[in-house]
Amino acid sequence: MDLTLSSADIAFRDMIRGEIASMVPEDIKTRVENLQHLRKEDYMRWQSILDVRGWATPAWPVEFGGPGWSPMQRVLFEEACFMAGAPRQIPHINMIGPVLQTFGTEDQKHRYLPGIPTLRDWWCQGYSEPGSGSDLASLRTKAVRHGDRYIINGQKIWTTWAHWSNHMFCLVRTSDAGRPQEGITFLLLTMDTPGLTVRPIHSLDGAHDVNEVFFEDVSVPVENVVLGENQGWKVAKFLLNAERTEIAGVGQSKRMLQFARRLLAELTNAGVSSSRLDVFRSRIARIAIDLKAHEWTLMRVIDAKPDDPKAPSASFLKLCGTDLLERVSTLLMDLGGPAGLAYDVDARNGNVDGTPPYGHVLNGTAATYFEYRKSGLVGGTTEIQKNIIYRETVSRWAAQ
Amino acid sequence: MNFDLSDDQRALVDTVERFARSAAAKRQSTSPVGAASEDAVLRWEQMVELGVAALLIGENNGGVGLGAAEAVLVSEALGQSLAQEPFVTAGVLAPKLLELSTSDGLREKYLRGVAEGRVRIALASDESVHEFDLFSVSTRAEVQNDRIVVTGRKELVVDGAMATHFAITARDANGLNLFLVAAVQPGVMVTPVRGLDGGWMARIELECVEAEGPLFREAAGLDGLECAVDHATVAICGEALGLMNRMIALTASYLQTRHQFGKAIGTFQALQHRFAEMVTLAEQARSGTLMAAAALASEDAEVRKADVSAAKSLVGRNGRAVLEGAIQLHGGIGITDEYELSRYIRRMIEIEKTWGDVSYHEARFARVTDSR
Ligand SMILES: Cc1cc2nc3c(=O)[nH]c(=O)nc-3n(C[C@H](O)[C@H](O)[C@H](O)COP(=O)(O)OP(=O)(O)OC[C@H]3O[C@@H](n4cnc5c(N)ncnc54)[C@H](O)[C@@H]3O)c2cc1C
Repeated sequence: MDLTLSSADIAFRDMIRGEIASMVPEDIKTRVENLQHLRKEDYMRWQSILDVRGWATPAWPVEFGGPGWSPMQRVLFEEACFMAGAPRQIPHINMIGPVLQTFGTEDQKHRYLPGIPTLRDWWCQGYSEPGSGSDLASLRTKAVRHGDRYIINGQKIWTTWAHWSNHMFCLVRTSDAGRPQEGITFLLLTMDTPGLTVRPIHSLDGAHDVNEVFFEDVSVPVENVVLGENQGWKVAKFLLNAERTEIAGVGQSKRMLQFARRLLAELTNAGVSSSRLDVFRSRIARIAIDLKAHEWTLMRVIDAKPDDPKAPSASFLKLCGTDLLERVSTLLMDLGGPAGLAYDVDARNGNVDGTPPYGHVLNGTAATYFEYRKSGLVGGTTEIQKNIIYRETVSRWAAQ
Repeated sequence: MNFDLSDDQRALVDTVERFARSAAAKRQSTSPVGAASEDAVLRWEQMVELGVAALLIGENNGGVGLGAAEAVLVSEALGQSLAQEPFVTAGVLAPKLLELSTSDGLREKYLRGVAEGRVRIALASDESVHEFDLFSVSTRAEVQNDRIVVTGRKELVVDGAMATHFAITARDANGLNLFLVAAVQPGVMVTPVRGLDGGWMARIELECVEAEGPLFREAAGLDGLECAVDHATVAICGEALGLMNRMIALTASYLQTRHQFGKAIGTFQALQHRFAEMVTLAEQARSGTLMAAAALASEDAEVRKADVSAAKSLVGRNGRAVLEGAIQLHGGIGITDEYELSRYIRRMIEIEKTWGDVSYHEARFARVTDSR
């Protein structure tokens, strides 16, 4: 055991923090720090800025134009971005990229990889369906083969950014034989294919991120299959693993904690009573303590050999990360106090230029709480994570 | 003690529930301010016809003379269907302010109008938007040419956009007191502020505005103000109980109808336990609210304050746990604006932040009980 960061990692951390901090455009940083909702252009602009440095696709190996970073370097990069007020990185970059690099045909790699780093091609993930959330393998969107094409009928739901995307990777049912997992195919398609429609779903905070996507006789060439017909579950599982470190939410939690500390300082200046400030102070401290431990769990997960049964799994990360995101967003709302009674949704969404009655940050506090109620649902619900942790650990502990 | 409803109480609840379920009773979350205020006034007039405005007003002042228990029942029934507005302010807070006022003249002049729904008084007390504090006031009241004039600025006035009058906290030569100001007159600027769930509050700016008052005799202190706010706080806790009922009902039926892995998700024990917690927390909130309703009748202001603060902090804390459980057990549907649950969630947070949040009330509870 060696509990120190290598000197190379320290040097990388210092370098990346300094660089990233100087690269984030002021207006984007302002929107982030105002707890506003970002626009599509914000994400695209930031990706292009990163792309100039070759950092747009942190999880990609050098041979595909990525920086070839180690998992530790990726974590340090992600942290630097969050602390500098950069947009969060679209997770799909690190999902579809590695999938195509691992399972794609030469033609698929050639066709799809180049558009990803700058988000010229924006991908969305079409997995969940109205009847298939936690039980993803029961999905029913059907792709029936006719000659060299699939005809797709069905519906996806909760598809993040489908309205900003021009491509989708999705799971479709191609067979009813065997176990449900065995009849699923991983398919690529373009969002302008006739028969495909996107309908917005607004969330609690009035934002539009997620969508329903309907398929009516959507025709897709068979060469858009990744890996092979009925091999989709394998691809999906690989992809889940690819987002292990991001799922921890360390950067996001740190950023929100930083905002909480700033708000506390503002409340102190505004003369808020010391009894109230003390409550916030101890809550901030407790969250900060848990976040520190969480970071070390992340380090342990990163370092673990792929099949080490003793290492904490990604489900630990997800569970603790969710808990932190839920608590720190709750703290932000509470810090917002009575001002959070007012909410100007257009100002938060950036649809209007005006400043809301009590400023952007206070306007965004309750909204941030509402937004992060998603944490326990996305990427496998908290209940599902607990089921997994139990299954993974109970026998080992019983044997001790 | 008897926790069963009397026949009269049952009838009252039935009437209010029936009204609350009707489409006319419901606030649209997206109406622009003008339409929303007119709408709110219209809804209030309908409630007045039901007799709700005069419910708590003494019979000698043209009212029905019911108590805090009925106020809780009515606001719970309204809350269940999100038809709250503006019972708590116009039906509870305003009449209580006038009844507790030491000014017989102002009571005579306005209480009947309140009972008949003609006069809608909103309390304009808050100046800081960072922390609730009834007594942190810099608005001034002065005598100029035999008239009282008030100058200052008030934030987050609940139901302020539809008020005919404001009850303004202000400092005069003798200290803090409460004054009445007509909403439409020179020097009053009302800026509507959109609330979390799409209702409208108001920022009120007053520049040498003519006022009536004060509502309280100098020596009497301001317990009357605090007491009136406590009454409103208990009523709003009642509304929160209604919200919790509905959130739990929605969750219960979802648990039974939503299937994953070939069975109703309600068969998963983890969800059963979370649901059981929601139900238990709502029951605790109910107990706390009833306790506080009883304490409103207490002669001892300290008892009243302690129990009201206990109730409001319980309701804030437990209401939040219930809404979070409801979201979690619903999965993605739980964060969807279009689904009914979303309105209950946002309203619950509004209630939590109105007239003191959890940490405010915990601190107030501690202050009052530590010295005992
Ligand atoms: C903001 C947001 C963005 C999303 N983005 C995407 C996206 O881009 N692409 C995509 O494909 N999907 C996306 N999702 C969908 C997400 O993956 C699902 O919401 C999630 O899988 C849960 O499914 P569900 O919503 O159908 O809930 P359900 O699966 O119906 O769950 C309802 C409740 O039942 C519980 N439950 C279910 N099974 C069990 C069990 N076996 N044991 C105990 N409890 C159980 C759940 O934990 C939950 O509490 C997104 C969701 C959200 C909220």
